[in-house]
Amino acid sequence: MCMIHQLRLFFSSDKTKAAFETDSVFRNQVKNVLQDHFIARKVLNILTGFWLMWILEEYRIVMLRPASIYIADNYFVRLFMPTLPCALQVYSVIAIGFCTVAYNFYFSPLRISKVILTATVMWLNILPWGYGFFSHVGHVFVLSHLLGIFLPDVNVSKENAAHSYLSMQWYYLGIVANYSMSGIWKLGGLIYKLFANDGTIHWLHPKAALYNSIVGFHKYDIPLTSQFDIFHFSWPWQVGFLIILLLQTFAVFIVLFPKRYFLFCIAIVTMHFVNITAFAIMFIWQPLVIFILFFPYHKIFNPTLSIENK
Amino acid sequence: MQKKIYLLTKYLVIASLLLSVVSIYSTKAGWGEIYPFYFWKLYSQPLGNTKVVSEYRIYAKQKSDSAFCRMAVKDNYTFTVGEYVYTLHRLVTDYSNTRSETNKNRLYDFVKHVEPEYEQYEIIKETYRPLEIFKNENVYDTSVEIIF
Repeated sequence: MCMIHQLRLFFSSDKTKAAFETDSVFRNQVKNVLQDHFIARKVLNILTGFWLMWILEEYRIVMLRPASIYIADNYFVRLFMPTLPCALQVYSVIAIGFCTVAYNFYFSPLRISKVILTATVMWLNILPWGYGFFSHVGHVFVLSHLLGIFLPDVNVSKENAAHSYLSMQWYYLGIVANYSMSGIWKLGGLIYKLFANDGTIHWLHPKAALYNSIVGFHKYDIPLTSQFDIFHFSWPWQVGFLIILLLQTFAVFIVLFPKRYFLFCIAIVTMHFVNITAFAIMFIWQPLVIFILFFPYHKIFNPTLSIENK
Repeated sequence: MQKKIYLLTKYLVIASLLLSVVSIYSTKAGWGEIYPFYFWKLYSQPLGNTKVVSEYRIYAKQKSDSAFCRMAVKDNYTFTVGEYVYTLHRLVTDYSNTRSETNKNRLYDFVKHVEPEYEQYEIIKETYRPLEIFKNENVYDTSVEIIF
């Protein structure tokens, strides 16, 4: 389906509903998105279980650090965790988190259980923020819970399918808008630098990737060895940057093309993999979340979703 | 009912985006980041784009030693290299901005924690040119930021 048509549907719930009733291809697309999403939420729940284990270990380590170096940086942190919490508080919240994860996994999650899990994740995620990191650490993971509070998590009625589909599109838009914002900053920065012509290195400069990599690795005192042979030719990195710039800037439009979710997912995960290996830019939870949310489960598992005739 | 719930997700996402835009402005205006889940401005320029880069490093010695030794960033039992670098940078910046005793003590607590076996410490600002350090890792300028 063309982009204009998908856009019309995205902004009009009535048109989406009408298309669902009359267009069998669109109806199939809706069913696939709903089914994939229900499975994705379950897998995300499992990931949250592992994340809670990681936080448990992180807190044990944090407790061994001098208490004085905890930094309450932004308003959110100052409001909810101005000083390092005591063990009883943290372990209680982690226990609540595990119970909620188990409940949400085995049963159809209640809205209240999703709110509790979101609050738990948001509060615990402050711990890694407290040591000089940007607040963006884990933010896509937190958003994947926060923005999903009002989404349906079980089979929906035929009557509600169109609205459920639209809520999921908004949810995905909320997640990928992070990439678009990042892309817009890069685009603005690149245009500014190209016009400013101030002798600094912009992203399309032949040595941009090499500079980025040297500084990225040297920041951690990782030896600058033969791995830098990969920067011998500059054009693949320049082309690669342009692809990433387009991918990030226009990421929000992926919600209009559910059939391309997997391609998007592969592209984003590849981008993070290259960032980790070539530039020592360590994003771990974020590509995992994107992979889980955009994976086409319906192509592997038999379609089990029935849109009920209620 | 479902339509109302769909609208809630839609408004939640819109609110999140708007708060992010407000956060961009509030951070720029010096009021701090009011919404921590969206504002994302990383790598809008390549690292080292000004061709000169500065990093902080801990130098340490025993009282009887004549010279300070450079302590390379390394995984510590309680800090990964990433946590080490960001925490050190943040604590040094906090101290440099305020020159307060409290911030100096916090920085000392960190330094003593990651390099406990020494008696005297300096925080050195190392300034290097990426292409030069790529050829020879020992080519950088140093300036003393803080002495403990």
